[in-house]
Order: sequence, then structure tokens, then C-alpha cells
Amino acid sequence: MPAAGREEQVYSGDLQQAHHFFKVGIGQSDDFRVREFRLGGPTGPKAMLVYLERMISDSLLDEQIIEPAMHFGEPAAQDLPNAARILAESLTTRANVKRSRSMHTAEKAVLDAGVCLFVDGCAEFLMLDVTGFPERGIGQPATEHSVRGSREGMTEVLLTNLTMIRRRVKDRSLRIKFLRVGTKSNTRVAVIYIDGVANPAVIREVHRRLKAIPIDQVQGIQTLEEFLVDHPFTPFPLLRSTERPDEVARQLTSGKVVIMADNSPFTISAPSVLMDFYQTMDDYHFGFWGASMIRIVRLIGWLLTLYLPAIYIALIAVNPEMVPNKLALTIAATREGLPFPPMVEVLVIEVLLELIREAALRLPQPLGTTIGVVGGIVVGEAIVAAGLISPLMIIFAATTMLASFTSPTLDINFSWRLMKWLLIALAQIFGLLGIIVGSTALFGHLAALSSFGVPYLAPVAPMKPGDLGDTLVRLPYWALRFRPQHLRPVDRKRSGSYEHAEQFPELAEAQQEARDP
Amino acid sequence: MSVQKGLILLLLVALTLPLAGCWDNREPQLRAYVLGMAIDPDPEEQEGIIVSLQLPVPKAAGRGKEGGGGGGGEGEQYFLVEGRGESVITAVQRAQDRVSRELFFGQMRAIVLSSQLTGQQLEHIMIGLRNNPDIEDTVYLAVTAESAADALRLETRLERLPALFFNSVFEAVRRTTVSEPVQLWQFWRAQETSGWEPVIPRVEQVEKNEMKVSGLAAYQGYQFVGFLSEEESQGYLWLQGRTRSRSLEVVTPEGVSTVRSLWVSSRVDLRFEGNRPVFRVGVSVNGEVALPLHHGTGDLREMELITAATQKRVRAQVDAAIHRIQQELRTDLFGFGKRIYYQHPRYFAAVDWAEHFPTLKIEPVVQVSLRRKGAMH
Repeated sequence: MPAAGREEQVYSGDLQQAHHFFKVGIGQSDDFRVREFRLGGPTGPKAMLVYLERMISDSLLDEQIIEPAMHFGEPAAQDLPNAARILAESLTTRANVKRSRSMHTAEKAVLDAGVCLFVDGCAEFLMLDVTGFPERGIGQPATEHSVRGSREGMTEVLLTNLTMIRRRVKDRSLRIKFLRVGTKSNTRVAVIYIDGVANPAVIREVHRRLKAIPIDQVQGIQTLEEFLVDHPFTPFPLLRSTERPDEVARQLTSGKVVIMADNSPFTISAPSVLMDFYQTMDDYHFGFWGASMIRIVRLIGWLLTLYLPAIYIALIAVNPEMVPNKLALTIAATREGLPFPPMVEVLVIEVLLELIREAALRLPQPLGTTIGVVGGIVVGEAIVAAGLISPLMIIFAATTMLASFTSPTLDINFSWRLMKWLLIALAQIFGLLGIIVGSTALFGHLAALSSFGVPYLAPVAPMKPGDLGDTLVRLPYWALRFRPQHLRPVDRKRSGSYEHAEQFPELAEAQQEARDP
Repeated sequence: MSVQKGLILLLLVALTLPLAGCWDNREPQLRAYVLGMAIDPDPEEQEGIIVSLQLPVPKAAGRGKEGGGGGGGEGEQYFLVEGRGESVITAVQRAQDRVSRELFFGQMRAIVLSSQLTGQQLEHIMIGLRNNPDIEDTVYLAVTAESAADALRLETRLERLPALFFNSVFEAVRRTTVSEPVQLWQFWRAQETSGWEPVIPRVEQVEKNEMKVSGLAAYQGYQFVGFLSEEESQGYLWLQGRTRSRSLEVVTPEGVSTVRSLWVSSRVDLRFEGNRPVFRVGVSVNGEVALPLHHGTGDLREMELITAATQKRVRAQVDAAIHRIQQELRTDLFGFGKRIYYQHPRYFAAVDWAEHFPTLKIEPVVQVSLRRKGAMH
């Protein structure tokens, strides 16, 4: 596809033409390299390689392209019109070779870390993949730790990530579709799904929305997410992002469409519901009792994050009649002589904690711990000792902070922390009533959200009893026989039924015989 | 669509405005929690009452365990503020004038009333209490024959604050059923119901540092008419079916046994004999023999003796209660009138129930069923 405003140029077989084409385009950059040599020896026809420096592997270029072409290029040199085909078929030892005539394709290939080989007198040229830029090795996922799960996290290189997915889903219906997004960045975006499982309407819609993105540069997966969501203004994440290939594999097999972009170690999956943000890989790597317990702990964490500071303010300042007797007296005692009203206390402490969190995040890792100690312990202790903040408030604020980090994904954590402030404001003005009204509005908003047409609160609202097996609790794998209905997969059946071998009659008999011979 | 949603949301929030708002927002440091209230008649003023409010000292609370602090001796945990006035509202206002912080009644746990208050005084007090939205209607009520203010002054051993004593003692009473805890709403409910008169548990000081709940105080409307002794209170509670776990000592020809009731129910049947209503109250007591303790199957005859003796004992308490309430106090604490009022409203309208109640025919039937502890049969 020629860029707008530029005419399609076809390579005519004249090296000078190619030379000129590059010279007025990317050739103006200083890292653009042209390497000329003669095909099949000193008297052969001229050939030209173009590439961007350091994007390719020099040694591969030398050994697998230049050397064979110079030394054994005789047959190609004698049959110039077919030189490109002969070179591709019998000379270069690179696996990934393509032929083309379009100069714009050549330009794109060069920008995409490729090498183009032009032969004077041959109307075709070769595009070879000798990618050799440095890339980060596969490391542990930084944001989603797992105790018993795989330790692989995705990297910035799309193809490397795809191999990790392929290794986990070896299915002939696994489809990977490439698109380019970004008028300047030309970022390669992959849409991944399992044909016959994922809903075709969702696949179509993902493609449609991706193609409509008009942005110049794709910064990361978040750039895509903000274009793809159904509701652009909501503070809640509508597409679950992850950097774990095993999580991606799970999403694919449950019928989701996964979107992956080059240069981003994160993927997003569509459609995503609120519950997806609370399912982590560890839930599937531990027994279902333990996993269910952890899920409930997370639910408690969520409740505390959202409500604890607001309820503190409401009960202390607006509705003290709701506090049990003795607790009311204890609270009154701890607050005696404090200069600030509870609202100011909460503001000071919460802002302080956000500062500590942010500071710890920005500093290099070894210093981050120091910040935690200085900020949390020293400032916290001192602020109480100075009589500025009640110790009770410190307890509540710290609990809230801890609770907020039980949410397994960072983006949902941000959303709830934001909502917490809304409830704090309402609690200050209207007390418990404000919290109730605020929660009603909040849940109304959540119920109105959707992700690629799927209600955000599914499978709870609308209720799909069959899907509840993997929500608040995780049922054992053998009980999770169906894919989530709210995703509307083409094939709803995940696995067949299974009979547990509860006893071994033969074994029991043998033991019985051994006991009384 | 979303504009509409926004408007609905705004409306929702706006609707709540009159219910609560930032004007309710008071820093706890600006509030004085009232934990208990005692109301006595004013001996110096004809119609006057004295309201005593118990306020905890926040500085004293919670700091008790701070070891090593060089501070002075133990400060007082609470103090009483007194206000006099014609009504509870003015009296509270006077008390407020003597305190530096705004009185807050939302944490009040007990109201102790003097039995010397006249009916009219109590009625005005109750209306006054009702007018204060902060006061929870789950506040416990108690009546004392002595000074009500003294009851709030008493140093109880287990509780830090006397008002909290009332809170915990009535929670305990609910289980041991020596008397019956009555909360503000229950008193009000009896007042609002035709043919039903309220009771309030009685508290009395037994030693210097001890207070106990002993029996019930009977009211006719707002007028105090007299106390029920502990035996009579027990009888009243059997008839109401509200006793749960209570030990009784019963005497049989073979000695003294201890019986514990576990589950009690009562059933009131109304019938008319000629033109007069007759109430048959069936009390069914399920319990166990705690002493003597038998192993094995035991002696069936002895069980029968104990059962008969228990039946006699319960019957005696029930009769005493009926006699005291019907003949001496002449106030319908059982709520028989309520039954008539609901089922035969014309009959109720035709008679003056207060006059009629003392002549009412009441037939108590007591049935006791006992098991032996540790034995199955």
C-alpha cells in the first residue's frame, strides 16, 4: 500500500533508480547503509544491499548473504532476469526470504529491520530477514508474580511473545493475524484467537476497531486499549491486560480475543469483565480450596480498600451513634486533643501514603525499601507521637493501603483507589447515607459498562449460574466443564466429563489377601 | 440517555439532602457522649424533675494501660451533670449549659427512672425523649425505688462506667431471665397498644458496690403502680413464655432437687363463658434435672416426683404473679386486653378494661417435662 501522496514505484532493474529512491527517502538518515558488491566474482553484475545499521546482524549478513552471493553467484549472474529467484532458491541460506518489485515494500522491509538485495538488471529484488537488534531476555513477570506458576513473562518483541503463546496452545485453529497501527510508528499488532472457540463477532469487531485507530504512534498496549474500549470515559479498565503467557493461553482457550503489540510486554484481551481482574494465575496453580480462600481474601481486600476510610469518617464525624458503645469511647479517647477533624486526618494520611508509594516506585529498587522504612515507619510513628494524627487513623490507612494491593491487577487497583476518594467525599458530607448513595451510583455505573458488548458485571449481573464456578470461588478443574457463557464462545464445551477413580477394587482385594493369608 | 441517567442520579443525591448532611458533621472532640441518664423528681420544686447525665471523661478512657507514664493519679472516669426543670427538655438544656461540649445522646445506653415520678411527669419525660432524634430506641430502661442519680454514681466493679453496667447486666439478664430487659421502644409499644400495660425492670443497690436487677416495676399507662417481687416476676415471665434458662430448687419427699428450665413456651387461649372472656394460659416448661445426678437409667418414680414438685413450684409462682398483678396492682401487664381489642373490638369498647381486668377469669395450666442430664430416654 503506497503512502498517501506518493506514487507507487516499481523497481525496473536499474540499480541507479533504487539508489535514487532511497537517497531522497530514508537514505537521508545517517544510519542508512548501502553495500555494493559484484555477484559471482569480480566481473559479475553489480548488486546492492540496503539496510539500517545495527538493526541487522552483520555477521549473518556477511556469512549467509554476501559470501554466497559473491562466491557462488555465477548462475544468477548468467541469468540476470531470473537472478532474484535463483538467489532466493539456491544461494542465500536465510530462512525468511521474499521477492518483490515495489520500492515502497522495500522501504518498509528496511524499516522493519530487514535487508534488501538488488541486482542490476533483474526487475525483482529480495527482502531478507537478518534481524539482529538486541532484545531483552525472557524474565519473570514484574507485575503478576506467581508462586507455583510459570516464571515466564513476555518481552518487548512480538514474535518472541508469540512463540510463548504457541508453546502453550498447540492447536491448529490458533489464529494470529497481523495489523499495522500508527501512521508514524507502524507498530505491528497481533490479534490472536482460537478459531471455532472465540466469538466471530468479537473477532470482527476487534479488527474493525483496530483498523480505525488514527493515532501516529503506539506507545504501548494502553494506547490501543483507550481506543478499543466501549466506554471511553469510565475510570474502570475494560480490557484485562497481562504480561503472563500462561494467562494469555487461558484467555484464549476460554474464548477471548487477545491483542498484542510490538514493543509492549503486555497484552489485552477482549471481552473482559470485572471478575477477570480478580483471577490470577496462582488461583489455577493452587488447589481449589486454597484458591477459593484467596479469592475471598481478595474480596475482603476490595471491600476494605473501597469502604474503610469512608466508613471511618462517617462513623466518627457524622454518625457516631452507629459505633458500638465501648469502641466509641475508645475512639473518643484516642482523638482527645487532636487538632484536625477526621476528614483532614484521612486526607493527610492518604496523600502521604500515595506519596510514599509513588516515591518508592520512582526510585531505584534498593532505595525504594529505604523510602518504605522512612516514609512508613518514621513518618508514621512521628506523626502520631507529635499528636497530629490519631493512631487509629494510621491503622486504618495502613490497612486500606495493604488491602488495595491485594487486587491482582494494577489497573483495577487504581480504579478502586479513585472511587475510594469519591466515597470519602460523600461520607464527609452525608455520612453513611452518602456511602450508600455513592455505592448505589457506583454499582449502577458498573452495571451499565460493557466490554465488547459483554456486561461488565457478568456473570453476576446478568446472573449466569453456570459461570459462577470460577468467580468468588474456583471449582476444581473437572467441574469447570464449560467456557464462560457471557463470552458467547462458539464452542461452549471446554472438556468432557470425568469419573474419579475413588477406589481400586483390585488393590483393596490384594491388600485384604495380604492381611489374612 | 446518559443525560437522563445523570439527572436521575442528581435527583437521588438531592433527595438524601434533607436526611443527613454536613450539618450533622461534628468532630468527636466537640461532642460529649452521654452514656446514661437518671431522672428523679425534684424534692424542692412541685412539678420539677432532676435529670442527671453521665458523661465519660475521654482523657481517662483508653489511657488506663499506658504504663510508665509519669502522670498524676487516676483521674475520674466519669462525672454526672445535673439539670433541673419542668420538662426533660429544659432540664437537659440546663445540663448542657454546664458542659463545655455539645451533649450527644446517640451513645446513651441506659435511662434510670425513679419510681417516685408521677404519671404525668413520666409521660412528659417520654414525649421529651421521643423528640430527641439522637436517642436510640434500644436504650435500656430501669426503675429504682431509691435515688436514680445514685444508680449512675455507683462504682461497679467489672465495668468502668456505671452506664455500661446497665448495658451488660441487661444483656446478661436476657440469658439468665431473672427479670426482663426493656428497651425504650418496648415501653413505647406497650403505651401505644390498647389493653397492654408496660413493665420496666427494677434495679436496686444491694451493697456499697453492687447493684442487682430484681424483679419488675409495673405501670398503668405512665403511672408507676408497684413492684413485683422476684417470685412474682418469675411467675409473670413463665406466663409470658419468656423465661429461658433458669434454675429452680424444688422439694420432693426424697430431698431437694435442682431443676433447670431450658425451653419455655406459653399459649394464650381466649374463650367466652356466657358474656365474659376467659383466658387459659398454658405454660409449658421443658427442662432438665441438674441435681441429683444419676447415672444409668435412674429411678423413674423419682423423676415423677421431681416433675410434680417442679410443676407445683412453677404453678405457685404463676399464681402469685396473677394474684399480685390482677388483685393488687390491677394493671394488665399480660396484654390480655390487647387480645380482646384485636379479636372483639366491640366488647373492648363496651367495657372499661382497667375496671374489668381485676375481675377477669384467668386459668393457668402448667405443664412440666423434664429430662435427666446425661441420660437419654
